[in-house]
Amino acid sequence: MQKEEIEGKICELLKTRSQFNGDNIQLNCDLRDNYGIDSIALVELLIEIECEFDITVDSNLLTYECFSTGAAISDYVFKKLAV
Amino acid sequence: MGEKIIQNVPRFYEPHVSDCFHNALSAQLLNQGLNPNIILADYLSFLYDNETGFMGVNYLYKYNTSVEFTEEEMNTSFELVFFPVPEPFNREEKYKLSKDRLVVKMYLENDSDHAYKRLKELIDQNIPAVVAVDLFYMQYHKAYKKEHGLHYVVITGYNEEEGWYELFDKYRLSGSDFDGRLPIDEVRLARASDNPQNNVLMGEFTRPLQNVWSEVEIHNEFTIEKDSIIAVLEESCKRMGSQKRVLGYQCGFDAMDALLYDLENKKSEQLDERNLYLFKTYYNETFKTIARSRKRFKVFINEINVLFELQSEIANLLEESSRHWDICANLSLKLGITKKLLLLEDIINQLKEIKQIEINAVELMNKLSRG
Repeated sequence: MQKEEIEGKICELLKTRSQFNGDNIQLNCDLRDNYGIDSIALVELLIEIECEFDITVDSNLLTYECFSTGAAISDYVFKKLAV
Repeated sequence: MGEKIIQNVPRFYEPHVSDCFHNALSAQLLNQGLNPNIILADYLSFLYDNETGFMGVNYLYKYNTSVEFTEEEMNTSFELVFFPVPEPFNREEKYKLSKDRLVVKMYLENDSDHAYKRLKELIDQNIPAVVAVDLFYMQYHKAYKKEHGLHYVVITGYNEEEGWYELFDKYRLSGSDFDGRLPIDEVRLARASDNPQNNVLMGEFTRPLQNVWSEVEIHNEFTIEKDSIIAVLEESCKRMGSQKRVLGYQCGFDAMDALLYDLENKKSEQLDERNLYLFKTYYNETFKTIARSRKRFKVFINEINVLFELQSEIANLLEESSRHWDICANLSLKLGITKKLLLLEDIINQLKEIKQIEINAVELMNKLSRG
């Protein structure tokens, strides 16, 4: 899967999870500050991403710090799919 | 009728605070020129009750049905703060203050007029008031008219003629970020609420707020002595080393072993409604709180930087431990949502790593306190 395609899907998923600014998802913005996605919503989002891309997020990386932007999530998914 | 506004009260918020009371009290302490990162440094610990499955840091995180506690229950966390038993406000009552501990008195008042009058007196004396409210009545919060919950805010002013309080609530961990005015009548309802609750573990219950508020009393020669700092380290080492019990519960590494044992047993249990609630809500919230306690202790260690050596090593270990507690919290939530019991193995492995990291941190703290 191309990186752009992954980013597009991540943006769509972020849009549905965002509390605000959902119409203007920027991949490099902090999810909590810009879209109101807290640590609970982030875990829910990552579960959705696991289903969407048929991957499993490494438990050791399951922190807000590792996935604080759409870009960080997209990069992770891209690397996972490339393995 | 009157108006009074206290200017320039620090709008404190740090993501490592233990709860909304800690955050509001920190603003009050800062306003008095005191450092909450040292004064409100609770001991590094871990508590577990294998009868109920509840855990905590220096007291168990459980679902209380009252805001009243015994003196022992009130005083398990801090070296530098004494909390007397909460009771109705009594103007004549004076506490014997010491130079090395400040007093934080919690007052209860079932008569809302009396509570209102005392709040006004505090603000008139330029003392910001830390008061409990039910979020159900706080129109700036997402829980407004939806969910009940005890919460602490800081009231800094009032205007009786126009009927408003000036207050702030910067506890962003629960989605608060308010700084403005609210109707006195609404805050009055919020302070006197019965605060009804309902969850899978407890069923329906209430936790009446009784207009609870706190007042800080400080000896005019209060100072933070090196001995008090060492006492925080020593007590933390004792608790983590399971050398004492707190409120009758196991502490430290023995308590972690008991939790690990119980989690191993859960592998063969049904994921019924109670267990799902435990993982999705109780473990998630509690592990998050413990993760913050490790960051808070790290902040304390860094604050005492000028006094001791070895801090950076301890601080790094606490940061790492906090990260693993945070992962445990997120894994618990994930398990609760996906119902994949396999994730329990990952939680157990994280807890084993935490235990080793914290053993290393406590060894260094022991050296620090002896040195």
